[in-house]
Amino acid sequence: MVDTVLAPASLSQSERLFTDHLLRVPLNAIPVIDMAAVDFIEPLDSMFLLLGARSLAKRTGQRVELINLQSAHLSYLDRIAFFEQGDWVYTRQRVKKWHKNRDSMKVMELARVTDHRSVSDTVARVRTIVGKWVLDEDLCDSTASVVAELCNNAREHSGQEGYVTVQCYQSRHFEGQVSLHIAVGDSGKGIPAALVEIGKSFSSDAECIKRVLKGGLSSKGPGKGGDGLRKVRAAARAGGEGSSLLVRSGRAVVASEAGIPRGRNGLPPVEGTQALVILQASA
Amino acid sequence: MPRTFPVSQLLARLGIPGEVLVTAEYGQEAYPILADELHQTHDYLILDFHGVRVVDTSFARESLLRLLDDVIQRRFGEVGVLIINASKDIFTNLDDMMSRRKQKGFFLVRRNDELDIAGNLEPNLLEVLNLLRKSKELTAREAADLLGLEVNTASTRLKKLHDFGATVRYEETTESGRQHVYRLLGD
Repeated sequence: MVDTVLAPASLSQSERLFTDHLLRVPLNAIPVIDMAAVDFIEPLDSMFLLLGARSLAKRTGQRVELINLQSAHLSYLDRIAFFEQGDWVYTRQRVKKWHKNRDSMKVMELARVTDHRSVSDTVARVRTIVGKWVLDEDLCDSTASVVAELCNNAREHSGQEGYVTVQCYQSRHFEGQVSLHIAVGDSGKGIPAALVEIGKSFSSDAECIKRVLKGGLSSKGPGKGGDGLRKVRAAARAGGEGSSLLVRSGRAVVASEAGIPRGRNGLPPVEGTQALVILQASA
Repeated sequence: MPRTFPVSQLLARLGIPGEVLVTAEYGQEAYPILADELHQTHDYLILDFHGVRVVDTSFARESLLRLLDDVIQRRFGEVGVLIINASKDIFTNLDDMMSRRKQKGFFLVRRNDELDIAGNLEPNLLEVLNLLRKSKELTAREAADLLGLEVNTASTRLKKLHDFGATVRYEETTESGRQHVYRLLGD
């Protein structure tokens, strides 16, 4: 039985694809995701699509097919090596021509981190690639540092592999500036569940994430790090006006702008943790 | 005489591409290399970060922090560590890591031709360190005179800075007797 899920028009609601729709696909279905109505795919969206498809494939035991991809989106997914990350998601469509989006200047392929070597390789690659996009050496270092912290978190706390992608946009809000979007995701146990395992409890998943953003709390136990997300938040805060951090885990999302975190609970549960860091820089 | 170790050598020796030193595992591999350098050092070890752009906290905790603890515990005698050519990101990460640590300690860092510290220092020790920055060399008596302290108090503070690995010292004999002369690393 083929069960087709319609991807929402805006993949900025892609988490809902990941949760709402995918959870309703029957276990023995052949899963298909119809991308016809999708307007735009950004780094975090591609992360949700990748991890959501994997979740769906695990659930049904079948590979997930993407259909009705617009030519520009197919080109983008091909460009970031989306279909090369694993055999759980595929498309029969072929890239006919490359599309250049005027707002999207540069993009780095998805990278998979599984161990310390792949974390190191990925961070080095990010540093090199971003160094070609942006002249500000300090920002390049900061970006690589952010990726290091997020990858370490994905690997050490999720128990699963993680994925990273970085994209450089012409800033829509600040003339003469570029915007670096760093998306990292994993499909491990997630922050709230990981902390419950070590006996911590919070009034909500959003409060849990906010507490982690303050630092000093690790799922590995007391005195064992726990400063990764706090440092990422600090980097986002130092990243100039318009910089921000978003963390999605459990049933909550927390967005931090100018260092002020705002959380929202009651969302459908996602597997693992997904984060998006946006840093602004002069072009 | 100080000994200089180009930290970028760790990249080649550990088979790491690029200019980044990250993860706890690589830090654990780096530590014995750094400890061996410190073991061969007289006075102080200069860690030159030229060619390394990023050091994450996990790496630093397993390598640099352990090295600093060796210095404080005098595992290799009275030697210190001075960091030079660290990028802003490396300094920020070290400073952040040290500032949040419960145990006392700091890294002495040369930045923009000035000596700075990554971490926290008690105000009374910071006062003496600032004095050393200006005076280059100090005895306890000189520090006491300049800061309006008892000689014993000044001596204790200079010794504490020395025990943190921030200074080198030598003995001199004057009319008043023998005394230690302290100088900041790298000066």
